[in-house]
Amino acid sequence: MKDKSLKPALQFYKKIMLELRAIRGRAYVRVTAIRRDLILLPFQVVLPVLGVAAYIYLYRFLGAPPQFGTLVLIGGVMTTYWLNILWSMASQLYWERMTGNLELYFLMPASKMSILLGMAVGGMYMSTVRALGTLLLGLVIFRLPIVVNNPLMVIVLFILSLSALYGMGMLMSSIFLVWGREAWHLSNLFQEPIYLLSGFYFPVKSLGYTLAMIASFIPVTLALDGMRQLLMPGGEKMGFIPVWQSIAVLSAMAVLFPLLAYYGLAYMERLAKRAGRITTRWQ
Amino acid sequence: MAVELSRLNPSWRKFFVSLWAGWKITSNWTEPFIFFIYLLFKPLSSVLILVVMFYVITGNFSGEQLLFLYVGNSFFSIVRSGISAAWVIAEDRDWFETIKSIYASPGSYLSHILGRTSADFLFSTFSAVVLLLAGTLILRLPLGLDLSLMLYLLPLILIVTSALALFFSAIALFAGHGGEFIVEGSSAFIYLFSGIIFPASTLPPILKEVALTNPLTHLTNLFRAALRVGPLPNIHIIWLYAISLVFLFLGVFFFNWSFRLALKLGILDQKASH
Repeated sequence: MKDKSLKPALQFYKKIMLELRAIRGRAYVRVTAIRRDLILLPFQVVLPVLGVAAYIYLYRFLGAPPQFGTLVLIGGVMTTYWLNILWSMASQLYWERMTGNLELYFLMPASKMSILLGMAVGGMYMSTVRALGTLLLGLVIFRLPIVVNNPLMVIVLFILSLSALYGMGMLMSSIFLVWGREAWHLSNLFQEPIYLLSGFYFPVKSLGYTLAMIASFIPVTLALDGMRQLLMPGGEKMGFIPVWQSIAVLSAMAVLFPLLAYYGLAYMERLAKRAGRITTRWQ
Repeated sequence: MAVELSRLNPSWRKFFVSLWAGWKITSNWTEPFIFFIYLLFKPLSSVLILVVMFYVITGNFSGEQLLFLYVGNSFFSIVRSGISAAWVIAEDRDWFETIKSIYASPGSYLSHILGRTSADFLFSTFSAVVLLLAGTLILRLPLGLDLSLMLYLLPLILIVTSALALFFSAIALFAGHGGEFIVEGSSAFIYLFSGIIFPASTLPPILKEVALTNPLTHLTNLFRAALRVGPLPNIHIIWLYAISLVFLFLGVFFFNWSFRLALKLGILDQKASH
């Protein structure tokens, strides 16, 4: 009797441990990669600062006040995360198919969602190392004005932003599963147009209410808008919506996107299998 | 008069075949109309970011500064095709796994890189032309055309783009999964030090010297002058040809050296995925 009641609990424990191991295993590759691919480090940390610098000097050329430098720096930091979402989340299952790993993911006993979650955790770690480098270098070199009046709110906003962003990355990853070379081109296409729509280098409210509202479906738009309000001197005047509203929307996105990713992945997997494209390479 | 490829020298043959393959790889993943939109969407967004930044500060859509950065950015969209060559290595090595076959086939791998870059150069030039036309028609930018100067400039831009392609694809040979960072990071360097969106005089003294020594700064200004934006830079075009050819030879040397080193280290077909 005692054994019977324990069995489901034991099975549940084993299942949870299996999923956690899958998450850790997938995240580990990314955590390790950052110190193994050292040739990329200057391209990932130092050179993006130059991109931020170019926009800071452009604002200076146009005679903008100094806080626009902080606005650009926050945009530059978030670029790191957006690039990670596009190239290491959204198109990741496409890469995995091209390198032959995807079959292994389908064969393994753990859930594919754990793989996506592991990718997200590892991706967050990699991007945070890069983003911190960009942030520190930017602050030291340009001596930009920054204020932290409400650190708790900054932390909450940042964590929710990353959760919503990576949730979106997981969803995109499942959608990209059925695509071939379109995946690469779409990732490429989602760079500058999203920089424009989400206001990476200018306040998003300058796009007008309708466009800014449409852009708010992308978590990075609200993340940027909220962080600028919390970290820039006079940032609240540039804000599109109050920070608490951004936090509420991002919280909903952080739950909704992974949920959609779960159903999306199952649907796309069926679709890809039916179309015979699940392991097709080079198409 | 059709060109018979089989009669050409193997390196030239490889160059033309790669040019053709570059066209196919870039364009045949979708319908021609969608591809056309795709070709314009990225550079258009990139220039619109600058236009909105300009609008946020000045409150209007006209002025010499707007003209300066709009034309500079159109020029940059062409030069960027050279940096994007880093992706060719990622494609050949990681995705299509053709790097060994291309290396083993007659003609040098360098010809293949130059062929693929030339295809990108043609696409980018087309996008830049459309951007400039859109600037003239929609934003009413007062652009002109010094045709003879532009005809002198185009081969020069191709030389510089090819040199950049050789440098960045050489670096990509040693990097794993991460072509996007090479392209983004290197673009940032060129964006900052080539007078693309602001004059070199905006930079602090030391950085200004770096920008003024950079031949790309003068090339950007010549491109502006060819479109009747700003004066002719104080450098003779022959000098720029000479400097750019030296840069190209250095690129050839650096690429060949890097390629040999990658072979020696056994990493030519390394695959890194994370």
